[in-house]
Amino acid sequence: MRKPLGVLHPDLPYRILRIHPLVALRGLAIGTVTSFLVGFALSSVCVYWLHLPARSIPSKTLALIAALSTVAMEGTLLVRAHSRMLARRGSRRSRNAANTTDRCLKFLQTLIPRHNREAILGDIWEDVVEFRAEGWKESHVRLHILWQLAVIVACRCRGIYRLAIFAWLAAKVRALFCGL
Amino acid sequence: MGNDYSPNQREAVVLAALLHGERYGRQIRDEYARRTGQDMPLGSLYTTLDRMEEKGLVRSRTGESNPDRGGNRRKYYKLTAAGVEAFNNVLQWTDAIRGTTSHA
Repeated sequence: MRKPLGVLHPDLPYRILRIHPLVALRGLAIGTVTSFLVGFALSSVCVYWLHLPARSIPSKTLALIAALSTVAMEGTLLVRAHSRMLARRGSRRSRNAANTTDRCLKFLQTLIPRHNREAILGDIWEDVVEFRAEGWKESHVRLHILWQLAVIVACRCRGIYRLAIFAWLAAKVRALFCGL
Repeated sequence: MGNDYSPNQREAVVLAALLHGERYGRQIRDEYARRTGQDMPLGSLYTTLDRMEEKGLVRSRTGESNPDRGGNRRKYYKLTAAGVEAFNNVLQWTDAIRGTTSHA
């Protein structure tokens, strides 16, 4: 029988995801490069294929897509790193903990601003327990967590401005290379 | 925070949700959904609450560890005097708009 989530990790908020700093740095580097490349490619598509004037390209759209690509890339790397870490651990407890929903929650906690981490995790936890009690499918519970995750990332990303700079920079590089 | 601060729509609903005493995030979110018919993701809610706390509209305190939440503590929010004043501003604006509408 499956243990309820609350029994598996009573100390969840205190267990910070242990990822090697180099892995995190690599994620950041790849994410940054990806966002830059996506911004570059998108602006090129807009100008050459859609024949839009360069100045009319909505920078927010570019920045958003660049942000999403960054988040996706960094997120994938973090989840993979975390899966490897769980696989390396031998204990049954760790293996039990390795189900996807718990992994989502663990991943989530690294993205939540520290001063609100416990409050948000607790609220999500209450949701999860309630949804499971209501008989939600586990995949739907997971979707709920992922949606909350996405919004937290988006809200946390005041970096949207930073990413807008990437998109702007990409447009400048495109202009440099393409003579626009 | 000046006396004439007018909160945005989301802040106004959160202020209204806190009128009857302190509440924690999930309760505020549920109240928001009840009043507006729209869901507010927790990420947005806490960003809003942080901003409101910075503006001095609400004050927070951390509760006790709760086993129902996997040992996580709740963060309770309550209105400050500035928050009540801001909410009154919202009501005044609403009344003013209603007055304008009724004369139209």
